[in-house]
Amino acid sequence: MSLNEKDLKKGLAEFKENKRKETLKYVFLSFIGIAIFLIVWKLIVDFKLLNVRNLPAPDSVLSTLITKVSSKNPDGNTLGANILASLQVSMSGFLLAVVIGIPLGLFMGWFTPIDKFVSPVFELLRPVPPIAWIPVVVVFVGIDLKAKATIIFLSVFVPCVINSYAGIKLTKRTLINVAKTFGAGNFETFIKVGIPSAMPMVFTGVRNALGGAWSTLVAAEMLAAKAGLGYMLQVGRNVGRADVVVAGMATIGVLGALMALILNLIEKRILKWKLDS
Amino acid sequence: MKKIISLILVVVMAFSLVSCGTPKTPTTTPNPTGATESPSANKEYSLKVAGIDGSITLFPVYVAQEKGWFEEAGLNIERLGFTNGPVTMEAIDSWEFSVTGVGGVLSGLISYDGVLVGTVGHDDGTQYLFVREDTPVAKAGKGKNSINPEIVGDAQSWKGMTVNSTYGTVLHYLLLKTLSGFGLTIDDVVVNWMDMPTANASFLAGEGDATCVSGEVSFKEDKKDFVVASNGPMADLGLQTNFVANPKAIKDPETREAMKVFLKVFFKATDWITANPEEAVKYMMDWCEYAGNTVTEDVARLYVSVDPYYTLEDNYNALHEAAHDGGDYNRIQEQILGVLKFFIDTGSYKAGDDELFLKEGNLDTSLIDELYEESK
Repeated sequence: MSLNEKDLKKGLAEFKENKRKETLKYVFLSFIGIAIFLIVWKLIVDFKLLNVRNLPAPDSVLSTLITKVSSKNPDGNTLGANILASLQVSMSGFLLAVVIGIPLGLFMGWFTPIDKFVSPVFELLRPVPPIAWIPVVVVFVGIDLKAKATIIFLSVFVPCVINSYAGIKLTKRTLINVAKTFGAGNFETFIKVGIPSAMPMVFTGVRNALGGAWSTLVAAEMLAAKAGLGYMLQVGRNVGRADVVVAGMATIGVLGALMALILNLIEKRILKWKLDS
Repeated sequence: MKKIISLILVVVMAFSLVSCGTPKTPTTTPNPTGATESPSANKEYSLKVAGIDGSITLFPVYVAQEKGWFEEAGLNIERLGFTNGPVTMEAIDSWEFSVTGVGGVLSGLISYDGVLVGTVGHDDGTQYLFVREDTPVAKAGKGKNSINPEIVGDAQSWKGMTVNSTYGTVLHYLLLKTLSGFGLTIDDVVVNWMDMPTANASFLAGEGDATCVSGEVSFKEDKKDFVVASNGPMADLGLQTNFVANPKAIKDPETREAMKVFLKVFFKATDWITANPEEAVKYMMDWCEYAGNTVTEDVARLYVSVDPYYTLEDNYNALHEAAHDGGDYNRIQEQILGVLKFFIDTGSYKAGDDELFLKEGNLDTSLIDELYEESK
């Protein structure tokens, strides 16, 4: 039996339809997951199923979020102002860490002298938690955006370096040998073989770094703040407003998830060759 | 085989967790003569007490522990240190009794059903607002504040000043009240909100035009080049630090008895500190050192004396003194309500929080009343 064009088109249409149904099924499952989470949370609060003092119900958190869109109480800023302030802090530290950390990791992974030179100091600093840097940062950097971005940078720099390092170290020997066979020097092989090969791991590192940037935000804004989601959370804590605290947490979570989605789209674009293969 | 071992491990771990969670029962020492004694005699109690390490409020607990007075009274104290009052209240389920400032009292009673039991002492003397010498505020001089002419600056010079302060605490109130004397609000200044140690460190490192600090750091040598723009007595804060009990703990008869024993020893310690200020200085230096602050003898001497403690009789009188505004609460509640109203006006607390503060069950004078009657 020979395949004709009509059969091919029919087959492709069927494949696309099945793919669409599968995607819809997974999206539906995700919504069900979120819905169940919210229902369980509401039941726990309403029926006091656990000893969760002051845990606000999800509808109360939503109500606080809606109120915060226009209200400056209790922290002196609207939700939008807090989001913008936090984006400024987290993205400053994150982008700085990406711009410095990825090249450093790649160079360390490829060039042994750089690795031996940088590694000892890096390994000493790596385990230090970001919050421990606050007193030093206050004295040497201050308390403004630079200081908060520095705290974020110190947190997310590490996964950027480590993943880039690991990624380029995993470059297949075969590919390197092929490049050398065709007359490429060490640096040319690094640029044309090593870096592309490392990109999947680099993006994993960037994804981890993005999560780290948001999770360190509260610590960074403890340093000193006039606005920001972490600051809003701290104020809520200080005046016993658990609804404000959870609203801050929820907003950080949603923003982090949105950023991760954007990063996924960028990765799909840049690593099209990897996904296609 | 692996499944059986896993199952055994799970059962063993589960039993360990259960036994760890089992509360200790107090031991009773039998009376050899068989004579009838009061329920608290020879009985051992335990109590978890929360406060701020290095603070003047928790200092009597430290002194009593060092002198062995709790042990003598049959009370096993576990002291828990926190960074400020609201954070202490957040962890209310981890302690039974606390000593705290107005920030802790407000968040504790409004949000965590804490119970106000009595008063530790005054809370004005160590609250300071410093400005740099070269700021317009320092140059504007005194005499323009309606609360107290000794407060430095004027409305124009304070506008736009950058101040380091802690949110929702007595320092926040000091700043609000100082500004109100110039007809200003918090929106007229730029505030860097942070915890007090960071406010102090960053001010010393050159950040901010002004800073609010409390405790022994207010008297340290490193402040000599700054101008005291305002402080607790100048701003007439009129605040005290208070005892706040965990609402469940105070209802348990054993724990309530432990609280009585604690208060008895606490007042013994405060009476001793008041009567022996020079000896207390050495303890204060050790207490500050414990909290990570090295202070000189002069600073410790000032710190010990600046906020007098309330005696048992002072407590009894204050808890039964009617409010001056005629409200259906006592004088202590009235003073704290004054602060709460300030915070409600600035949006830090909500309208209706004043009713929550006064809700039934938030005040229990019985411990102080019983101790006072027993002492007569």
